Amino acid sequence: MEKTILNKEKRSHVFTIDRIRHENEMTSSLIMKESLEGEPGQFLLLWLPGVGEKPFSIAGTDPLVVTVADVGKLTHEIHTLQPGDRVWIRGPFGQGYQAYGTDALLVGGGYGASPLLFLAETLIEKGTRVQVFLGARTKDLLILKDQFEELPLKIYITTNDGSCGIQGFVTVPLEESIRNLPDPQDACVYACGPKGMLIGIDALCEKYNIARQLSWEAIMRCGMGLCGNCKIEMPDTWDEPSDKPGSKKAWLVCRDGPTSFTK
Amino acid sequence: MSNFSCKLFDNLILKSPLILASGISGNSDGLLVRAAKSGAAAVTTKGVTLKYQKGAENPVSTDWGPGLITNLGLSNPGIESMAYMIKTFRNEMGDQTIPIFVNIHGESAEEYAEIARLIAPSHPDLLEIDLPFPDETLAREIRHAVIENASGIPISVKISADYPKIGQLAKVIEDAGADAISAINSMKGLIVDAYAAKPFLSSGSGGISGPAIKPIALYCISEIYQAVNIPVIGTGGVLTGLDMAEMMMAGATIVGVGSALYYSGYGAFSQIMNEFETFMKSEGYQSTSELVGKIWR
Repeated sequence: MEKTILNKEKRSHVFTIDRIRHENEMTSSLIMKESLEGEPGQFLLLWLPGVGEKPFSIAGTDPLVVTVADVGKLTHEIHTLQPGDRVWIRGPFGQGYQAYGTDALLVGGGYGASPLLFLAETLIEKGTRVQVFLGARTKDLLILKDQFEELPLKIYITTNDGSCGIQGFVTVPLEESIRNLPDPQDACVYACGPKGMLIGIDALCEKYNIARQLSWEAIMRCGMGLCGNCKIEMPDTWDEPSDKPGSKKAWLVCRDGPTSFTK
Repeated sequence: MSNFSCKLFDNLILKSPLILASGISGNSDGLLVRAAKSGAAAVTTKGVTLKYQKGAENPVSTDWGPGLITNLGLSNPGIESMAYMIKTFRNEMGDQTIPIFVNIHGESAEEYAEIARLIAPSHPDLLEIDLPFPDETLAREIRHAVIENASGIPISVKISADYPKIGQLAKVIEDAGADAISAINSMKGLIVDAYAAKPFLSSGSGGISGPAIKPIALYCISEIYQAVNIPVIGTGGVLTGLDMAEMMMAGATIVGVGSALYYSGYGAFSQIMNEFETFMKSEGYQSTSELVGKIWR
């Protein structure tokens, strides 16, 4: 392949904010004027010159949507931006979600839901039956609920404090839905959220022998597979591929992931 | 696979000439194990300093087209944690003995001496001294300081292409008692984003690596090869088996890859070795030693 392709695609490009959608008190989605080619589950790196650069899920491609929770210096600065302001973006990077089976169960923990709306839209377009499970500590931390409700899918909400939907963990309605699947072998669980939630979902899927694609979080630095900062250890249920020896104990979220696929 | 073993020193024979260079993945024993299991004949740690260094803020790296630019700000766990990492690496590798090289970075001869003293009990297979700037007197001082404290561990001095008389510098280093020369280090560069009107990396400048520096590396290696009698550990922009053969023909006894892991992932090791084997077979070479310095023989 010609290197010039890399030249065009790998450097940061300027994107202009068209509008901003407030998801909850601490989370907003930036909807850009431009589009970016990418798949649900992949990530991009957003740079504010002089402030910093961080990875974000791709929440939509045409136009590009980036959902940002106000949790640190850079994200706080992003929350002060207005329509017309510019951001610098490179990507997409990493392995995204793959369409698999007739039934899709999408599980988002807190702002882990951010890539799942895009995934739901993509899967529905392919004719997949979609169910969505959104979990958060409390009602104010749920995101994208209204957007999901506009799509032809079944939605389940859980909060730890019972302030919205079912009280408890998201794995409770998930397990019930797995049990009710017409054919668990022809279905897949797609999840994004905190590590503890992913480990729980992985164990549940193992119990019912159902395929799952989990999107892992890590503190990322270079985003290019060089620095090793985002290295994680995969759960016991994950089989190391023969062409990636040593990857089970040193899995790079930026390159091997962020999405892992266990069939 | 054919036998491509190669002798770096009398007591250090590698299963092939292809190793993991310093800088990539070298802050984690897990990733060093992954590189070794993926086919690296030896692994080199990231540059380690006396104390832990947090490193630079993002962005720390980018692909600018013909190559990469990186400035992690020497992030590393410090020499004492590195000693522990060497132990873990060896435990994890078990019977598969893959040598581990430790790249050390200091600011003065005294600091290098202290780092060498602290790492010596872990017996890395080689200490690679990252020369802070190419100065003949400093190179000599550092080399003496390290040799005093390294309890017989072989030492290689890594030099960058910035020095105009690189062969002469290499000779000074050899005369000071070094066992090998590593060349080249990444080269200082700057990437500017015109729309932001700012340097892209948070630290401003960074080290240029990848295909962009390969011809420079080949030149420097051939100059060094002609000036010294000790082995050259070649690094700089090797992505394929042919790149490796070319670097050996310029004078490298073994070849390290770093940026290749960005372009091809950890599969780079097996890919490069397969391409190298195809080349060796098609050209009728029997052993790696036939290639070393071939353009000068």
